[in-house]
Amino acid sequence: MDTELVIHARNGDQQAFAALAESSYGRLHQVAFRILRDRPAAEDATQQAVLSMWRDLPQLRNPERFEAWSYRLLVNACNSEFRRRKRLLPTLGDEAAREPVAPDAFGQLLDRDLVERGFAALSIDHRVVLVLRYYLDLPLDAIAATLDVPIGTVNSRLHRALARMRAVLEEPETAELAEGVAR
Amino acid sequence: MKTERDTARIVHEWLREPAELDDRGLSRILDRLPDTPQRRHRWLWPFEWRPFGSGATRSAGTDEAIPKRRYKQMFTATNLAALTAALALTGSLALFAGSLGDPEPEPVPGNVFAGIHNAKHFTGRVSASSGSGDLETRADRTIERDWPSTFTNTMTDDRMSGTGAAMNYLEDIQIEGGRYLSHASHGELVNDLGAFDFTCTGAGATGTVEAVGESRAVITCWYEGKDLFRGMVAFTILSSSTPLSGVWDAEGWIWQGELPEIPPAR
Repeated sequence: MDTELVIHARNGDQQAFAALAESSYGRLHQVAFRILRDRPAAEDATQQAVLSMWRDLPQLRNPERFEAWSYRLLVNACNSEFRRRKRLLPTLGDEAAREPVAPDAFGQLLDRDLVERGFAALSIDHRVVLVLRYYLDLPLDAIAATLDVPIGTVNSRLHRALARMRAVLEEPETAELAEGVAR
Repeated sequence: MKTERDTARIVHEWLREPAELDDRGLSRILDRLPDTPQRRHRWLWPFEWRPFGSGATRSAGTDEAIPKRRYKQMFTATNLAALTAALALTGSLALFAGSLGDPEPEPVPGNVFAGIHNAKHFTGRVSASSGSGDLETRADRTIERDWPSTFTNTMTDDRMSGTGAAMNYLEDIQIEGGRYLSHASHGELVNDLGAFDFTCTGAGATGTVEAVGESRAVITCWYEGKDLFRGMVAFTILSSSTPLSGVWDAEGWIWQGELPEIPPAR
């Protein structure tokens, strides 16, 4: 990450910010899609996060933390988008599961539909930690810093998220029934 | 039987599957930069914003009717829902800048506490409903955490109309001759003008120990919208017309502005 660009953008240089945004947008968009599992929602969340980056950049004291800070903004935007669309579209997250997928190596090993359904049944908090840990490969302390929660909380959320995923993979009908009752 | 490691590997492989996404939305954001001011002063808000559901341990059976024990100890459903409506009402204040049909965005005013003299009055009605949260009973008070509520506002100002949801914290304290309620909440409101988050704190009281009769709640809130609206509201929830309707009259004042910067601690 070019810290000079961050500094210039922080001082109001729109061209510098445009360069920052162009190098960040694709990365953030991919993360948002994996959290929300819905293309329009991911696009909205990413756009909101980038706009927040511009607006709040003057408050970023350490330019070298720009990337981690951008993930925090994205997670916040995904949270907002998830809550908003859940009220409007109760099946948010199921669209990806219903898309037809050609068989491939993954599908031969495991029913992709099961994994999609298991993930769709997770809370937004659980989705976020799974994506930060297993898509971005962030260490636990980095996840804790991004989410502004203790490492113990990250550990707890990861453990519960994986436990719920495992339950769906092993006994899909029972696990999903339990999820429905819990909600 | 799969281990946690097996599941982690499956999730890892699944998340790594390529996804083709359209990144052309970036250009729309870059087009908005000239009209989007950067925020150069920020109040270190004492509330720690928590996403919905984080740390919440809901009591079982959220669809159950309120148990009698709780009903005796707390405000009546009317007063509680009135307070919920008060919290919800604060979230109904939508965009300021650019939301009044002005062709040019309004300049963001300075200190929000100075901006109160430009406050605009509103009245209307709120319809609210609530679930149940985690209840803790102490000697002189009852605390309810992670208490969800939903609401619909119909106001004289379209900016304040809409639907939304909030998560609330409440303390119900018995005092001599009555009851006192303190609260904090965080939520979101959506209407045709946009969507925004709100954070509120306030207090209410009723003049009887049984918590029946009229009550008043005074609430102040800070809120931010997707289009960078930010400002405050202060308002009063009036008592409901019937205990079963879940509808309350309200009136208040709204104004925009920035929160002042706190000097660093020495």
